[in-house]
Amino acid sequence: MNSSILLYPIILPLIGGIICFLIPTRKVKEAISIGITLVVFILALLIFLSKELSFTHTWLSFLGIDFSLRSYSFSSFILLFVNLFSFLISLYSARFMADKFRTREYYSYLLLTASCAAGAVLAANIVVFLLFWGILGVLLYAFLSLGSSRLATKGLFIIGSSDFALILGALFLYKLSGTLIMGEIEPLSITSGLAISSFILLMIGSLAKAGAIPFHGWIPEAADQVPTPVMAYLPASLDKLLGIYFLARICLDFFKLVPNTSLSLLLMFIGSLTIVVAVMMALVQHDLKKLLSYHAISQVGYMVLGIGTGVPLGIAGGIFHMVNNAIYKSCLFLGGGSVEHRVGTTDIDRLGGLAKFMPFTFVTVLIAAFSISGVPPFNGFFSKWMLYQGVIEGGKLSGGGMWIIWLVAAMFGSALTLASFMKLIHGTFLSEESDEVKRELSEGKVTESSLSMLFPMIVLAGLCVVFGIFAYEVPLKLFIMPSVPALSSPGVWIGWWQPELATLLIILGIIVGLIIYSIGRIKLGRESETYIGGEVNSSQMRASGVDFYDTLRDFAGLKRLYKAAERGTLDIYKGMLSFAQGTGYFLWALDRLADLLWRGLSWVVLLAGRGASLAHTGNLHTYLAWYLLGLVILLLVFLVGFGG
Amino acid sequence: MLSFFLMGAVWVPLIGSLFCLLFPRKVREGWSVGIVGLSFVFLFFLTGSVMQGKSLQVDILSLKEGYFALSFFADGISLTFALIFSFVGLVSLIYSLSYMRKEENHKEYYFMTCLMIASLIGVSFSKNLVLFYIFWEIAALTTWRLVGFYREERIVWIADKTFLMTFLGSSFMLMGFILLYVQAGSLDLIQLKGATFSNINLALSLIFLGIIAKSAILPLHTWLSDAHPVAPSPMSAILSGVEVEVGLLGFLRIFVWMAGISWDWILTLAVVSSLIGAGAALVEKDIKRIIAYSTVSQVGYILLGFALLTRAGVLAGLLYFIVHAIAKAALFLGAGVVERKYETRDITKLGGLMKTSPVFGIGFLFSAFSIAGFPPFGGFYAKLMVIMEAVKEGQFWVATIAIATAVLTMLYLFRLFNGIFMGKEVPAKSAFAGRLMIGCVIFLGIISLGIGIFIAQVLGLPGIAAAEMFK
Repeated sequence: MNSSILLYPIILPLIGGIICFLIPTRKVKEAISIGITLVVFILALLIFLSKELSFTHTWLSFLGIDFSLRSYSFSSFILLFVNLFSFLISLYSARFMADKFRTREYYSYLLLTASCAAGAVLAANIVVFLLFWGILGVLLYAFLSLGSSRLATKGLFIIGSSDFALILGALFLYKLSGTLIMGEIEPLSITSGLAISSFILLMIGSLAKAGAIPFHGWIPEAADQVPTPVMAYLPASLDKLLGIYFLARICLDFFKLVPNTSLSLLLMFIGSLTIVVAVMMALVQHDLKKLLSYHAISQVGYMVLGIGTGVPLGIAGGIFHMVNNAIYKSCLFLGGGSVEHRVGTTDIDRLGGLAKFMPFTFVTVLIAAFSISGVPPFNGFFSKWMLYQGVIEGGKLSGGGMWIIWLVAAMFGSALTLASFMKLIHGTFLSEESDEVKRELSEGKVTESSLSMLFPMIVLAGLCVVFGIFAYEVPLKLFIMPSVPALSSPGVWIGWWQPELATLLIILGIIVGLIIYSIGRIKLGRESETYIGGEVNSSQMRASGVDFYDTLRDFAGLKRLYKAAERGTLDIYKGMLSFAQGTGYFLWALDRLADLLWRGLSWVVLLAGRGASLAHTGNLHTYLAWYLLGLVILLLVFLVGFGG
Repeated sequence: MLSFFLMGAVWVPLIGSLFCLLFPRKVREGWSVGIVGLSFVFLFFLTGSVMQGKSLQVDILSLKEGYFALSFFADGISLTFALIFSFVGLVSLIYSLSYMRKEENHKEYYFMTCLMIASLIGVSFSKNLVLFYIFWEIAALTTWRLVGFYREERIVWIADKTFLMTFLGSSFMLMGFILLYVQAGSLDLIQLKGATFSNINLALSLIFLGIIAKSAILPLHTWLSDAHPVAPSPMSAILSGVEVEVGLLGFLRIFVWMAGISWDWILTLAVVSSLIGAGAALVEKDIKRIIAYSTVSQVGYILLGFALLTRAGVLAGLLYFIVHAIAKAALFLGAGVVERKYETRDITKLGGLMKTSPVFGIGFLFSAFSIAGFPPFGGFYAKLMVIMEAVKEGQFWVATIAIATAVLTMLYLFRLFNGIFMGKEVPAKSAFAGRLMIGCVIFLGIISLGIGIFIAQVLGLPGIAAAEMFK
């Protein structure tokens, strides 16, 4: 296949984005956006099927930097998913964004982001990669400015600073490897100081993109400010795909990350911390989207933990989890958006009982919630299973006991995830309708979303099921195995999980359960409203479920931690700003000091002038005395100098 | 024909500026834009042959002993600088048509501005060091007059400070030139090129003082942040965008091109100066002081690029110069618009301008992105290339400080941008539209973006200049 096909995923959305910005008609923008992302998705499929392609165009010839792109198993698989999400989100947005403001910017940013993400994934040259990666930061600023300028600035500062760190790391890597072409870099061992700093700087860049703690600050803030599809597109799917893709490349292609070295432990620590802290925050959220956004952070922890093991199985698990997370997390956000679209709020307190009215939304969200909580046989379980095995395998290599901490953190996080989703599902879909929902119901507003919004959710929920049940046949065989060549075949993994068989058994169990339930139902007497003490429940007595876990907040040791987290202690942003401010004042003082020096000089000169002017009295006799004094000095000089 | 273009580019604005004093107001405005524009066109015609690697010499007058000659020459370096000088000058003059409309002393303003642009172009083409010095000082004198344009006592003091500090440096530089003449017997740059003599380090050290005073590099940088707030905005644009960089032209011409010498401590000085500028910009509240410190900071990067003494380093420095001149001029011109609208320059008392003039905001934002070094704007490539060269030369700490400065740059520029354009809306003091002025800012903003997109083409001329130097 002609290798110039690699250019189209970049150029087509770019042109589309510019056109969308220029055309005011909404329908045309929607058509362009959906059409182009669909075409590019098909192209990405073609690229994926054609294995390895590379494209080179002479660019900065003075510096020997070419505009080169390369697709191989890993990058083309990421490209495929990036464009899948671009397409699904555009489709979803057509209805969702119809009554929103600033759609002109929205569609153009969406397409430009798709273009730059494709560029960053396909880039074969470090400079090309930095170019597209950096533009993504600018586009994030643009996207977040749909929310508020404060938020946009926060996002830009976090992402921008880490981009600069990434640039420095990439340049150190260039110095170490001597080449700017990523494919030519031989995996370096991380021993020298330069290599360590390069690894850490690159790591900061990719972790910040993926949104791991402490670079997560903008995500929960964005949740209730920007349109929901933006959340589904950026923090939920694209940022994870790109950030973890690059982290995996750092650990696989650029450096040899040895299990149980301090860097590996650092990554695993960041991963575990992210899992636990973010999930604890998620537990006490009242807002659907905020809750989801904390999970978007928490899940990064698993990927980082997996890659941090340095064991092929762990890395593969991390990558698989990244794909799975992108799928279920965007499905969840889209489901949340669907609820928001109908009821007009995402506050769980003011929702409830929606399962009856929005059955498809309910089922898709339920599947995604099961996936994210790691309930078998859905995909989330499978990738977590791989991760756990990776952690154990890494632990076995070292002989130490550290692996138990990581494993416990991951499993604990998983349990809490389930807990928080129970709250979400209960509060949103199952509990009694709130007054708000009742009012909307009476106006006939709460109905199932339109097909163009449901379709992306159904596709994603379907993928959750397929990637879970047919994990070996579909995702592992097609995507993960080719990306991590060192991965051993599933037969020799420590824990062997047979998803098909398990699913069959689960389905069997459910059928048996249903039969028993319906037998029981036949004998049931009468149905009535639930009542307590003879009183029918009023809406004040409704249990929305948002406070399920509020006891956690008041728990002796945790109280302080929650307070600290709510103040943003773990958020690097505030610390970064005050550090910068402090540095600024220090440097400003140095600057003023330099100025003082010159002012001082001018005072000295003025003082000397003043002194000299005192001597000019206009009195001839005084002048004569000066002359004589001078003459004496001259004479002395001559006598001493030449007299000898 | 080429020498005609070269002479035209220098003499048309130089002599033409005198007529600004004679003509009536309407003619004067058109005339001043015309002469600078014509000079730009002449320079543009020169690019073709210079791009082929040819250099051009014109000797009009030469004194016997060789200590003075009215001789010019054009190569890649001088043309790159002169093109940007005249371009930024031209845009600022067009902006002045609206900005200066209600001011007094039009005669002086247009005369001085044209003379300043002419002398900047003259510096870049001078072949003789004394001629170089004369143009250099004409630029300093015009700066003195223009910084002190409003004639209040405090402003005149600041203008004096500006002149005295740069003059302090340049008098040392003149001593350096004399030392060169005494030893090499010539002041002709082409004859001096590659010449070796014993006391060159002393001569160059003296010249370096002149350069850092002019280019506002630590520790001789403190005049710049005082001068900007009091100067008229278009004058600020020329001062920070291009005039300050004359010092860097001097460094490139005398250190890199002529002597092929640079010292390692210059790299450290460059990044430290850059860091201090960025830090101070993060603290200041006055729009123009912030942008002025930003200049101190950015000039450090350019010096860093040149002082690395490699082909790619010089190329990176030249690109940085181009990008910075255009973006910085845009920021100062934008500051002028804000000043006219709100009659204050304190960012804590401004806000919400994005709601009323979004297009202006985007033009300003593009320039801010360019200076902060975000792709796809031109500044990204410049910053990346400078730091890449530093890393390649093994200067890891220098590169790290440069990256830290880049982070601070991003912080202070967005603090500035948010202060003016975002947040709570502050009602404008005057119903001032200033379409022409806003147009200039947007035009420059788009050029910043264009440089990033057509980077391979933009690098053409600087590429030739850098290649000439390291054959």
